[in-house]
Amino acid sequence: MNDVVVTDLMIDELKPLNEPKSPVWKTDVIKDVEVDIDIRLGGASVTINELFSWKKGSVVTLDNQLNQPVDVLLNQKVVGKGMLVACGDYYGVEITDVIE
Amino acid sequence: MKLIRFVSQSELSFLQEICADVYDKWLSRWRSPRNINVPLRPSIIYKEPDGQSWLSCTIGRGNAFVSVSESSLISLAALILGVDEVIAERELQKDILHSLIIDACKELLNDLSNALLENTFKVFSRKEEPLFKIGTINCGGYQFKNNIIDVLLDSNVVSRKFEQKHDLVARNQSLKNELIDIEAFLPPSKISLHELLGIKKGNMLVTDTKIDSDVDIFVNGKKNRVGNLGKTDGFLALKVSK
Repeated sequence: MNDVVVTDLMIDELKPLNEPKSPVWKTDVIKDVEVDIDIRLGGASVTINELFSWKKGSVVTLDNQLNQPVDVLLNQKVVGKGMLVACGDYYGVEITDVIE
Repeated sequence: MKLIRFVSQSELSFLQEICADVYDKWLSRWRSPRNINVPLRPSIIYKEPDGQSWLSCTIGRGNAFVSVSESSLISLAALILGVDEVIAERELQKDILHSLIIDACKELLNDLSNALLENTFKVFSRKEEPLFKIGTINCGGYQFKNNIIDVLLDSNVVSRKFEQKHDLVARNQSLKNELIDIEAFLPPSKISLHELLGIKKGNMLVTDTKIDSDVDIFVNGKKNRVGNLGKTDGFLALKVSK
């Protein structure tokens, strides 16, 4: 076995360059990435008994009035609100509130 | 058994005075003008009164349990109607009169509770446990025996006395009135980040969900049922389809 001299490892401390605090998004890079959005129609509080009483045809009233906006969620976070409308054969949401 | 406890005769007298005052006011509202002789007066009693007991209310330092027996109700009916007890007993079978008497009892309890809650008895003694009696309404520690308590529990002066001994109930029975939150969502829609980041107020977001197709019902964050979207009484609603 050869004799080896052991010394402390010298590691340089790395310092970032003057990076901006908030990175600038180059959206071109990710523009084609698809994500799922969810439209939350409303909620309700029901007793466990009611829940297990539901059968086909049972009606559940939500806490959202017809003239109130629904939530648009991205990754379980509300990113916008809008009125539920019909767009042809599909549901649509006319955005009434979003952080631009 | 829990009773209202008093330290001294003066404390009892003080309570009696309050009760008499409340009772007089109550009489002026409920006693029939035809009934000149008022048979009911507040008094202190030192033993359990006979009769079925039905209700309780918070009085002074703790819960008082008020007993109103059938005979008490008849006496009250006689007092209110200004008739003899035979007629009162017969009339008491009528629902309207029955609820009238109950209202009278509730009002008395309410007034009594309000009057006594304003006064704090500082010392608590376990040596003597006298009861007090207002007419035929007796205060002491009794169990509820009659479904009349369900009516009286609606009032804000009565509260149910919890017994020490509890019968076992099935866990699902215990849970059945537990509230849980549900949420309804349209099925997820795909959108490019380009579109998403470009959304502004007034824009239209077209989802991937066809009208009349199912929407998802989530319980505790998990999809549990599906239903058709509709409305009821001005609110969005779902008709469970699966």
